[in-house]
Amino acid sequence: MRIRVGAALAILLVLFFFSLCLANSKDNGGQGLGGDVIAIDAMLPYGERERPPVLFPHDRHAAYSGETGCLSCHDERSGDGSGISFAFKGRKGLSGNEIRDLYHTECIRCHAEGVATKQPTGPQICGGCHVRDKAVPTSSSYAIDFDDSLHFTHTEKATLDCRACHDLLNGDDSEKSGDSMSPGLSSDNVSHDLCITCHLVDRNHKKPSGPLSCKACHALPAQSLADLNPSKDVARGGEVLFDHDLHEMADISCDVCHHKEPDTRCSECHTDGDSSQGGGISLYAAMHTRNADRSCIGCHDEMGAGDVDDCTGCHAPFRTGNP
Amino acid sequence: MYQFITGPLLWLSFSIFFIGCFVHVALYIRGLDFQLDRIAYNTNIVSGVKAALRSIGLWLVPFGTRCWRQNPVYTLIFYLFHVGAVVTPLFLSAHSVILKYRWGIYMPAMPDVVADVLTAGVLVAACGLLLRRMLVPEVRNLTTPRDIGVLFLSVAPFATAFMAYHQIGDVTFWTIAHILSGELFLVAVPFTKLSHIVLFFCSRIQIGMDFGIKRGGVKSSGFPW
Repeated sequence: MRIRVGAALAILLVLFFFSLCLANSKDNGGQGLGGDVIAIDAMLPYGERERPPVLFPHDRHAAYSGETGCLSCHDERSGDGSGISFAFKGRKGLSGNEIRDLYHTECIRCHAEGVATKQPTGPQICGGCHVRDKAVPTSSSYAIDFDDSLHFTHTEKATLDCRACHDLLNGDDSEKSGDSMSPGLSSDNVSHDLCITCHLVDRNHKKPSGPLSCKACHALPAQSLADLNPSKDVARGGEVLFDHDLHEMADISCDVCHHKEPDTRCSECHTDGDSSQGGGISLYAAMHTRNADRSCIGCHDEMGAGDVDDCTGCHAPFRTGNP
Repeated sequence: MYQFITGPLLWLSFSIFFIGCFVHVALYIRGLDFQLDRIAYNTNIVSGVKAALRSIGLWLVPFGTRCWRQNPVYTLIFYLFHVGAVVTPLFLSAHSVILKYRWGIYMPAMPDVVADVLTAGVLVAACGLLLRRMLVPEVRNLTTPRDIGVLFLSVAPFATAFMAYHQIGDVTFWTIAHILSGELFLVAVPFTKLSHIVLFFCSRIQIGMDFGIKRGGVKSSGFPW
């Protein structure tokens, strides 16, 4: 009896050992970490997560979106030419476990449909999407190499006005209606909202349009980009060639502009980011706010220079054509 | 594969489990004979039910009966195993999500960390139970290979779940292994000693009534048989 029990136990242990070896020989999941990977961390505001966030490969999903395209997963915004809402379809107004249930229901349903229709599809098991020990990409993991050539494409080929992009990119959305922007967008997401909406609306109107896939813009890891553009701080256009003498001759006091110490540069307090320094006024706002008598545009308006609507009156033009 | 084992195979497993358990209970009750057992089940129903509930209750509570108190180490191992084995699958958040998704049934869920500790407890306790079967002479003499097999069958869903949750190795392999071993467990219940899932209650009700109705049970609270 003891021999039989021991033998059965030994066989089971050997089988267990081999299955362990077999299981460890394969890699976890199939998630890559390319420029299209979005970390779905919708449960983050509701306390500690039970599982790792899903690293969602957006381009891989978009490729199978079929005839409905973006609308497979996103709601259309109201109004013509408003594009799509970047939130997941049906997510607005939900909170806590409702969001979790929505993602589970929709993702698993779609993956199961893929199996039923014999299409390439995603996992249906927990660990297939919630993969442990994967570095969560940040928004800056894959930057866009928006070089002179790309700038030229937007200004000359697409004939976009400077302010079409730069107002929103610098946090001034006063001329956009509230419905146009997705509610609660962080400043990091404004560029997505701006670029993708523009590309999408052009495509819907059968006009030549920019790309919609993530990797088409986010092609290079940020580290590589820094290597490619070691001289990114060198002026390539857009800089203001400020004539100090000309302003001295105008009937304005020094401390209108130099409202701190004379040697303090504007950018020391008014930063580009969302910092609360400089009274929460960004460098862009400090220069461009129309109703402030200390900003460039506000002062020019007050001095009777007329409405400033031509950026190249102050900013040097960008180089045209390919660099 | 996943569709099949969580579809038709799951329903087959559940059917065998529930029908098998029902048949076990039905056969147990049918096998009772008040003349043979000399228990007046029907005439002393109140005393019988009281004693039955008392027997079940005290046997479910750790150290609630003399037998539990006589074997404290075994009692701890036993409860560590059974509490984890019963509570974890019922109130696991992942199972709750599946129930909600599949059938719209809401089940309260415990934090994953608690489930993880309980699962580890099941695995450790299973090792303890195995050692007991191999080392304690009076238990070893009663042990058959079938008993060892049943123990492995019971532990397999937990071991595979632990591997899948911690993603040690291939998560798909372990998840499929977890589902299959869980289904194998369900199917095995009616055909092995795992049928004690329902027969424990039957035995306790019968013995509780037996000793509650006769042998002085109606005169005092007596001994919790």
